[in-house]
Amino acid sequence: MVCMLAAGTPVTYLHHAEPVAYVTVAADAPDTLDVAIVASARNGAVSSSAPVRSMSASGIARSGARNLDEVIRTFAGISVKDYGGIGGLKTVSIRSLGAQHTAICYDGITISDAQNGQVDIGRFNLDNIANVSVSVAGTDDIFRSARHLTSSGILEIMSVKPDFSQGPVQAMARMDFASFGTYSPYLLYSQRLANGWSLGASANCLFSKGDYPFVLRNGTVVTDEKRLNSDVASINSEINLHGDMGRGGELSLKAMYTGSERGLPGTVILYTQNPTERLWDRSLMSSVSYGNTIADAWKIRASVGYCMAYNRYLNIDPAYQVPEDDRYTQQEYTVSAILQFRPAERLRIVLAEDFFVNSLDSSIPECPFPVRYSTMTALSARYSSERFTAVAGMVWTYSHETVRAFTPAPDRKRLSPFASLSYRLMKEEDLRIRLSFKDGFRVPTFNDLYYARVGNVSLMPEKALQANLGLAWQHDFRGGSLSLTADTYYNNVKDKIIAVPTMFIWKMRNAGKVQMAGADITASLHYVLAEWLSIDTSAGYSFQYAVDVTDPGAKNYMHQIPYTPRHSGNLTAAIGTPWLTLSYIMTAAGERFSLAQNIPANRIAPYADHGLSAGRAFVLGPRHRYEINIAAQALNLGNINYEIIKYYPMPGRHFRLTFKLSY
Amino acid sequence: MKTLRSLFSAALSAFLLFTACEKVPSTPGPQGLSGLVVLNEGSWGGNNSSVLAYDQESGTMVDRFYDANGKNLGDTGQDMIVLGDDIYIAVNVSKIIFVTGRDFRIKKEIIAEKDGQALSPRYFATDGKKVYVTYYEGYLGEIDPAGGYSVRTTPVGPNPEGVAYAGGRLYVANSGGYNYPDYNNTLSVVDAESFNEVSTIEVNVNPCLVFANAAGTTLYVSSLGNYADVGPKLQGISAADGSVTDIDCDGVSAIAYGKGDNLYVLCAGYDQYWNPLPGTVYTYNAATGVKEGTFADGIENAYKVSADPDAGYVFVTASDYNTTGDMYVYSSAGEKIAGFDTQGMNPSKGLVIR
Repeated sequence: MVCMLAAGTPVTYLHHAEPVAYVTVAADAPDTLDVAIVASARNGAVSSSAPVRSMSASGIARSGARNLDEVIRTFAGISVKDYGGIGGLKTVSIRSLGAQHTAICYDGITISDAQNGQVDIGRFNLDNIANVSVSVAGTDDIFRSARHLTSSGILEIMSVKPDFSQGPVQAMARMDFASFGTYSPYLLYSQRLANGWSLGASANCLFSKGDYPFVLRNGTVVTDEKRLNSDVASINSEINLHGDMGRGGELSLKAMYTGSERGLPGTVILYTQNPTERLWDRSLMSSVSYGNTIADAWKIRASVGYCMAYNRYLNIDPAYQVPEDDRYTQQEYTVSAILQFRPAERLRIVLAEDFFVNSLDSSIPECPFPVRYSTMTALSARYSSERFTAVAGMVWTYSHETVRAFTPAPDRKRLSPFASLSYRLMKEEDLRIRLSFKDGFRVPTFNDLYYARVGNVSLMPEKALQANLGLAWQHDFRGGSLSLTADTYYNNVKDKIIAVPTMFIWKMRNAGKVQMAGADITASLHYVLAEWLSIDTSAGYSFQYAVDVTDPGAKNYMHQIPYTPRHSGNLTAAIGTPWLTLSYIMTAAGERFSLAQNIPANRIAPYADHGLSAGRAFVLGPRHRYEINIAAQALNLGNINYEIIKYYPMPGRHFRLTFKLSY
Repeated sequence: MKTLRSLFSAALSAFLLFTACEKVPSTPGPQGLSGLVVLNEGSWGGNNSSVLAYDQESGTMVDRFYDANGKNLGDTGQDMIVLGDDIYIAVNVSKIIFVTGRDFRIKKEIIAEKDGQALSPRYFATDGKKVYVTYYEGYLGEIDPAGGYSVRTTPVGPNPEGVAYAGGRLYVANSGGYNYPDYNNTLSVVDAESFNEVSTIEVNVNPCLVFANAAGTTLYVSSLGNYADVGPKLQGISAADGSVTDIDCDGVSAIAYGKGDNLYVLCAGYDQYWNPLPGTVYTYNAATGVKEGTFADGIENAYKVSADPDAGYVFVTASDYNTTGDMYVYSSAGEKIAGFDTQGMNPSKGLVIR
């Protein structure tokens, strides 16, 4: 959006200024001292010592994606678990490690869920996103919260910083209309204040009936059905106050509120459809952060935050004597500080400390009202020269829990090291080899530990060891650039936290071991054929061999773990002209299995999802201050109700229309 | 693609730190046991319930229900019973009862409704003329094959599970399983003629399965307790006066009634790390309520026990809920006849259909 407001330039040309938008990311963009290095390796995805997938605002705009999951699905090695439908839960898993191993970070704020460890990415609105990236098995950006460094991967979402170069006000209004009774208005307003301060506010609403048709195949019996109880109404809003005090540093205040009510359509059950569940969410996230660079050698960022998440679950199944009506409230208080010291031009040393307190209150019987105190301390260093980058560090985690009833989980202590290297093999070509290693883990969630009957306080953290070896190449040529990456990896997951049945009840236990080996290959090409014609295309392929090695005597020993395709891939292509931007997105996955055994009964059919998008921008008004964007998309062109989760059919062919007015 | 694959396998073999291992061969089906069918509950929400039988020709288990009807049984096949030439299959989550012939061809699909909502069938019992079924929403149903499989229902306690017929009365175990932590602890006694609840009998918390002995004098109830301070129990109830007696039994999880007026009781538990302990099946004399001895033991991941009183077989199943379950078939004398992978999830019941 920032670029779109640049005056006097036809909008559709703008992405020319930004080569290879699908992979462009500066690993350390805000750091001005990095300019020399960034300039020599301006494609962060190539220079990074660990794989990074990313898409910038212009790439998002060009792709026609309107939801974050549509962007992430085009990232090689990253999958979105999607229960289908507009309001369906969508979580991000990196190389099949599971959503609980993915740290989610929005403008530096960690969005977490201590209760079940899964964050629904459906809440993020793409209209005000500058960049989306996923770092896998390490990161070059060590100037970050210690919490991120213990995760196996980081999904980072950066919002657009308001640009007041054309005036003191920036505003946007957008309306989406889509199939199945879906509409979504969005408003954004930013105002420059005095003395380097600015204020911004935005709100995105979504209303959908979500009652999409699907074809149900029960053997030879094929019926036309409609998804029931799939409605959603939600609001996501935020307020930002930002002050740039020059040498005095930068101060940011951010508050986000989300609220939603939705039906839970549940699994499609043969011979009956009677969903009885509803969910209400309310959450507030707020933070104040301060950052400054002192005498070039020192950089500091400190923040305090408070998050609250409330949800209510209602089930009116007549088998309940009184409807099940549960309420859960989570709270989180955080204090975080990051200090960077740069003793030499090429060396930086970072000390990061996070202290946070999580609590859970719930109305379910026997809730012990757990409170967890965690501290994470990260010490890391990065050396980077034109040809060589080395990162190493470790995070010390300590947590202590208290409960009002029953036994708390024992204290946890864990040291998690990580290291990565990148080396430019040739002076004349930007071809790099990279190697990274990370010992990540996830702590058991409050549900894992304390959920009535099922929870088990003696759980240990689930460990995920990751190793990555890859090659990355970027080649610039007249009128364009080409980049290729190929990574192979090995992951070892131990003490996997799973629900295990006992004779009478299910119990959470550390009872799984998974070994994974795989490869991710990406290619992207940006090519300007003429003043009026450009092409951006990218392709990704992932191979995943992820097998259960828990018990050599088990029937699923060495079987591919559930919901993990051996082969998956994506293809995107966009053609930019001054009149129209046309784009195509395809994501595909091979055969998967819904349960532990790789037998025909558990097989889920391969799919390919094709989408087409067309958009145009008009610049109007005095000094080209107004811009209108109109875009239309046709999604899942094949009109097949494929399943990502078995018996959660995805919507068939559907359409979307977007009107956007920016000032 | 082929070169790509070989490239990968080369890379893999270099990269993998573990050695590939032979898959565990599935044990062969129950050869020689003609007519044996296995009801598999499937996994919850998986619509993968099935009625499997061993096919001599292909040497594998085949889904008799699917082969006869071209469609799946649905979600959570809970119980299966034979009356005359009809087979009744209760599919709990799919809220449907299939009545089929002995060839498994559907004769009737029964969907019972209350206030416009379909009811979820659980367990069957029969008096030889009618079939009785519990509905988890708090009803007992009566299906009359002579009356075109018409259904009448009567309210009982919350979340009824097992039901048994004895002396003109039906005994329904009200689990209250959806009302955690306040489970129910009663049996509803329903008069078969008037089809009304006439009394309730207080038993241990969370009663589950009920069987009557041959004489119809004693009813046996297994209950699961509240998974905390109240443990599972096996109890005997006098049909004459409703008096309840605790029967010495540790960790009962399922019971079945079989040939020779025997009650088969599956007991299991778990260790301090929640590892399931091997299950043991004990035989009780259903006429006297006295434990006669160990029928089978050392059953890993023991899941359910069932018996075919006519054919005289006892079936013990094993499931880890993760992979397809196993079934062990015993003669009523306790001789192990077969053990095989059922090829279905959570096998719960065996029957001989000829």
